[in-house]
Amino acid sequence: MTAPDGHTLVVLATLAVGVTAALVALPRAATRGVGGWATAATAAATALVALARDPITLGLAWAASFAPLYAASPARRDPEARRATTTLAVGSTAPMLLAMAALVARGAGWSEGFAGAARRAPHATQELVALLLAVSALARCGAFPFHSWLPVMAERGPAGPVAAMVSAPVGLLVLTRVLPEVAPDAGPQLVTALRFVGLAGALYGGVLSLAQRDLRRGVGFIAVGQTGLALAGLGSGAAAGVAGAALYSAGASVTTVGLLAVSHAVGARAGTTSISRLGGLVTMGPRMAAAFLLLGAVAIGVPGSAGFAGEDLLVHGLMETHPAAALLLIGATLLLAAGFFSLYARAFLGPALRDASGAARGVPDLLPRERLTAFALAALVIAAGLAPGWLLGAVGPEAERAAHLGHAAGR
Amino acid sequence: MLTPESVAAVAAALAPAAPLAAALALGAWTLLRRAPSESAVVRAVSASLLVSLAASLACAAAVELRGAPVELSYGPWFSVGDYAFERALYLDRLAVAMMTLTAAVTALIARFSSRYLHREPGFARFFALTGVFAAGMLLLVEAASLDLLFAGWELVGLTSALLVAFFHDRSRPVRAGLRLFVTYRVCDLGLLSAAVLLHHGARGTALARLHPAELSPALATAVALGLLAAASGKSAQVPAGAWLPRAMEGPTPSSALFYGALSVHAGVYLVLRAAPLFQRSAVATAALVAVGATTTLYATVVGRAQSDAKGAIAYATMTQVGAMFVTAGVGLTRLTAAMLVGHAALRCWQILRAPSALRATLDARAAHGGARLAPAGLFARRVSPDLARAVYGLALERFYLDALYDRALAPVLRLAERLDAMERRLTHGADAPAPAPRDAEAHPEPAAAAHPGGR
Repeated sequence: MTAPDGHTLVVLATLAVGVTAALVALPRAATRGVGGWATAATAAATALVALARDPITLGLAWAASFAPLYAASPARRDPEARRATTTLAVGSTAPMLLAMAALVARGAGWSEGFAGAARRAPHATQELVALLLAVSALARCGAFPFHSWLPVMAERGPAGPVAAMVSAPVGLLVLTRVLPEVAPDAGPQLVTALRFVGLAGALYGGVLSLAQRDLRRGVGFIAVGQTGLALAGLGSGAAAGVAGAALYSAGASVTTVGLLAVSHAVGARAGTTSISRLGGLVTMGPRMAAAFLLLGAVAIGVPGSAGFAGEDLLVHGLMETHPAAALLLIGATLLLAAGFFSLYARAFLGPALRDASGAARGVPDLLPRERLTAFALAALVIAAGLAPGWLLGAVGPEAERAAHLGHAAGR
Repeated sequence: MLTPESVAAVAAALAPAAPLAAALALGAWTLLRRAPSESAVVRAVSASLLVSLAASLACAAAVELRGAPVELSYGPWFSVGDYAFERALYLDRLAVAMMTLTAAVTALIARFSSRYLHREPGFARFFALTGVFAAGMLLLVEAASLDLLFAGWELVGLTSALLVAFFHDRSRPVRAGLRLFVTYRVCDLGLLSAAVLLHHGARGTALARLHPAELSPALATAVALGLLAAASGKSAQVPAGAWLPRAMEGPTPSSALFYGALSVHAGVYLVLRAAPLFQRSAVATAALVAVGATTTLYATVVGRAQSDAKGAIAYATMTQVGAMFVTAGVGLTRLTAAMLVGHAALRCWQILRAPSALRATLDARAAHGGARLAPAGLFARRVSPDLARAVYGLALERFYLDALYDRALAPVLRLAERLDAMERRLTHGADAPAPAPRDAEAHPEPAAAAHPGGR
C-alpha cells in the first residue's frame, strides 16, 4: 500500500477534527447509542474512501459510508429525510459502484490501482467510468445540481453521521486524485465542467441562503455554495485555484461541522431551529450567538482565516485562466457572506423569544464542552489561515499536476 | 543599528497587531470563561490602543527622518506557483497621518466609552469590536497592495455592521446592521474586481508601484470605477449612501468613531491612494466628481429636513465627504487630505455631543437672550412655495433612496424564495409544507424610514 499523498492527509485531518468536534459538541441524544455508532462508522468508511487505492476498496468503502446515515435516519417518521437519504445513496453510490464494476470487469483487483485497469479499457469505457465517477463525487460533496440532499439532511438528518459526511471533502479528493488516473484524457472536459458546475453551485447556494427560514437548512445551503466555490477553483486548471480549493474546502468542512453543532444546540434548547420562532437568542445565550458568529465569520472568509486565504487563491487561480469566471466567483462569495449574516441576524438578534404568555423564554447558553469545541474549531481555521504554508505545501504537487491539466484545457 | 526603516518595520507591524491581540484575547476569555470586569476590559483595550498610538507616532517619525516613503516587506503570507500574497506595507505622510488619527481617535473613544457605556450589556463586546476595528483600519491605511487593503477593509465592514446592531434587543438596529452589511458587500465587489483586473493587467496591486501611464485607458477606467464603487459604499455616497442615517442606531461612541471620524473616510483614503489611477481616466474622474457633487447636493437638501440631531449630522457628514470626492477628483489631493483630518475630528466631536443637542440648543438660545435663532432659509425665500414644498417632501422621503435599495434587492429575494420553494417541492414531493412567511419572523423588516435612535 502506497503512503497517502498530501491532499489525502489534509482530508483525513479534517475528518478527524470534524468527527471529534461532532462527538464532543453535539447534543448527547445525537451521539449516544445508534447515533454515536453511526457517526464512528461513517467516519471509518469515509477514511477508507480517502485511503482507497483500488476500485474494489473504493466501491465498498463508498457504499459503506452511506449505510450508517441510512440506518440512523428518521426514515419512518420523516418522508423528506427518507427521500433525501435515498437520493443521496442512490445518486452517489450507484454510479460509483457501476464505475468500479466496469474497472473490475477489466481485470482490476485489490492489488492494482485505478490507472492499470483503466488503461486496458477502451476509450469509450474510460469516458463512461469518468462520467459516473464525477456524478458520484459531485453528489457526495453536495455540488449543484446534485445538492438537494445536503440542506435536507442538515435540517432533518441524524446529526452525527451528517457531521461526519460533511467534515471530509472526499468527493473533491476523488475528483482530483482518482478521476485523472481513470481517464487521463478527460482532463480538459473535466476542468471545464467543474468550473461551470462550481460557479453555478456557488451562486445558487449564495442566493438560496438568503431565503432560508431554518437555521440548519441555511447552514446546508451555505455549505452547498462553499462546495461550489471549491469546485470552481478545481475548474480553474491553475495551481493557485486547485491549492485554494483544498485549503478552502478544509476550512469550510470544519466550520460547517461547528455551525451544525451550534444549530443543533439551538434546536435542543429552543425546541426548534425555525427562524420564524427564533430571534433574540443572543440575550439568553450570548455565547451561543458568539460561537455561531465566530464560526460563520471564519467560514465566509474573514481576513486571517483559511477561508480568506483559500478564497484569495481561488479568485487568482480562476483569474489566471478565466477572468470573467473570477468576477462571478467574487459575486458568489459576497452572496454567501450576505446570506450568512442575514441568517445570523434573523436567528440570533432582535427582540427576545417570548412564550404564549408574553414572558421571555429561557434558553440555556452553551455548555463548556460546546464552547470549547466552537472556539477550538475557529482557532484551528484561523491558524490554518495565518500560516497556510504547511497545508499548501502538502497539496502543492497535486496543484501543479492540475495546472498542467488546465493548460491542456486550452485557456 | 537602529535605522528609520528598522523602527518603522517593528512599529508598523505592532500598530494593528496590538489592538487585534487584545480583542482576540478578550473575545476568547469571554467565550470560554466569563466576561471580565469593566476595568479589566478598558485597561486591556486602552493599553493596546496606546501601544498603537505610540507605534503610529514612531512610524511618522521614521518617515519624517527618512524624508521619503518607507516600503516594508514581511515576505509572502502564502504562495502557490508564481502567485504570492505579499505582506507589504507602504508608509508615506498620508498613511502615517491616518495611522496617528486612527490610533488617537480610537483611544479617545475607548476612554469616553468606558463611562458612557458603563453597565451596558455588551460592554466587553463593544471593546472587543473596537479593537478589531482599530486593527482593520490601521491595516487598511498601511497596506501597500489592494489585496492587503481589502483584508483591513473587510474587518472594518464587519465590525461596523456588528456595532450598528449592538442594541440587538430591538429590531431596528439589527435591520440597519444587515442593510449596511449588504450594501458594503455589494460595493466591495468593486474593490475585488479592481484587484482582479490589476493582477490580470498590471501583474500586481501595489498602488505605489503602479505606473498608470503603462495601463491601457480602458483598464485604468475599469479599475478606477471599481475603486469608486467600493469607496462610495464605505463613504456613504449616492446612490449607496442610504445606510448612513440608519447606522446611527449604534451606540453613540461607535457612531462617532465609524461615521464621524474614520470608517466613513476610508473611501476618501482609497480615492487618495488611487489618485494617479483616476487621473489616467477622464471617465473615472468625471464619475468621481459627479458622485461627490450629487451626494453633496442630495445630503444638503435632505439634511435640512432632518428632525433629529444624529440624522442631521449623518447628512452633514455625507455632504462634506461628497465635497472631498469632488476635491480629490479635480486633483486637489492635499486639500482633500487636510479636509479629511479636520472633518474627522469635527464630526467625531459633534456625534459625541449629539445626546446633549437639546442642552446645546438651549445654551445657544440663552446666549441670544432667549430669542429664537433666525432660520437660514435662503432657499425657501428665493423659490416659489410650491417648489419649496415639493423639495421638502422629497427631502423628508430622502429622495426615495431607501425604496431604491429595497427595489434593487427585491428581485434577488424573490428569486431566492422561488428557488427555495422549488427545492422543497423537489425533496418533499407535492405535499411540501409552505414555509412560514417572512413577516411571521420574530422581527420583520420595517417598511418605514429609519429614525436614528442609538443610545
